[in-house]
Amino acid sequence: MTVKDQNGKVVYTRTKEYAIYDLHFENQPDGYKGLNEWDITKMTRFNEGFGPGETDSNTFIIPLPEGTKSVDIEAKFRFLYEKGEEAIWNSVTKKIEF
Amino acid sequence: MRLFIGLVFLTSMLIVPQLALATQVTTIDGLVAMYNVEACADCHEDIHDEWKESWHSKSLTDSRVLRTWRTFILSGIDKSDQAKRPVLKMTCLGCHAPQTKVLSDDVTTEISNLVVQSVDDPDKAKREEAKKRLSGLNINCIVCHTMMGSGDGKPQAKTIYGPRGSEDTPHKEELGYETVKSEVISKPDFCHQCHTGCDGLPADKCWSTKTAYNEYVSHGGDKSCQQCHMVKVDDISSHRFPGIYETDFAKSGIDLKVDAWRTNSVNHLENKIMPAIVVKVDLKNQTPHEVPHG
Repeated sequence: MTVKDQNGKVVYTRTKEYAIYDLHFENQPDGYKGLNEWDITKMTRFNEGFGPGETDSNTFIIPLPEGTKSVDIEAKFRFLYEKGEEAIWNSVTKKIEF
Repeated sequence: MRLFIGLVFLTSMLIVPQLALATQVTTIDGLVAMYNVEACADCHEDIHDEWKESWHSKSLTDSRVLRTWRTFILSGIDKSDQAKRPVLKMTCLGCHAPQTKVLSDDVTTEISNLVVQSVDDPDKAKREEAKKRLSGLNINCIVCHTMMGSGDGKPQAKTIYGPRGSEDTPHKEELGYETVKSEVISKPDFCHQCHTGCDGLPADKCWSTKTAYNEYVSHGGDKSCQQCHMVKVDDISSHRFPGIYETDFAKSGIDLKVDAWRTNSVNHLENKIMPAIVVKVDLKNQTPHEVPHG
């Protein structure tokens, strides 16, 4: 989410990441199909993802600089396919005037 | 007429994967020719065009696949005391190009060399050439509708499996192939022949889309994979197989709502009243899979 003032200056930005990590820790000499260094049976999963059907609600209280006349708020849900390659799945904008 | 017979014969040679499971194929090009689907495209052009755009058509040559395999080959297989590169047939290739199971170990090793070359060769032309040689290996009509179509690993010879059987089809008349209704091809079990993670391991030992699907069902989900990823139009299932990598498909999975209102922030230490806003962001994952993943 990004908040810009009436001059287009970014006054607030916040990112929340959802990720899933499949990591390999243990060494198994006999391994999976002889793969002792990269044994996929020893995968450890850290799920920091966004679960099926789940909701996630976040509230942000954002003090603004004196003299702010208006702000444009833009919230996006981005999918990072890999570094440098991303897609915007959803985007919502709001304008607040003082 | 002679030309027609010649074409039919040639077409038969192209469409028929021979199901020669007992015969080892000794060249990549030989295998690619056996699994050439141009004959399928002659009649099923729209489906073929959809498939060409799908990830199944580049199951070996997608950039992420190639780079991941390069790492697996160099940092996994090559560092193992026991595993050799032909193990690719029982691991990655088993699903990314199941037809390779008839390849000799030498040709499998050649594929592994091409994978590494397609990513790491400093010469761009050589990288492209390696990728081109691999591009004929993919998950195509013949793989799904003959080799995997029975769902039990025991496909009948000269048989094309589909959602509907028929005794009177061009498959029979022109190619000598039976068209048999598959009891599994429209069910999740068909997809799970490959989308199950690691060969020989239960889904909870090797996370995959089958694991995600099991979770979906355990939460009350009642749709099949095909109902979302092969949506029917005019009773024909899409063969584009959209997934998380297609924005138009994936974006419907996330609902994003933003509510915002103005307020004041009282700086009691400085005796100032500052402008402020409250922003509430609500997200809902409407997909039956975790995001990311799926």
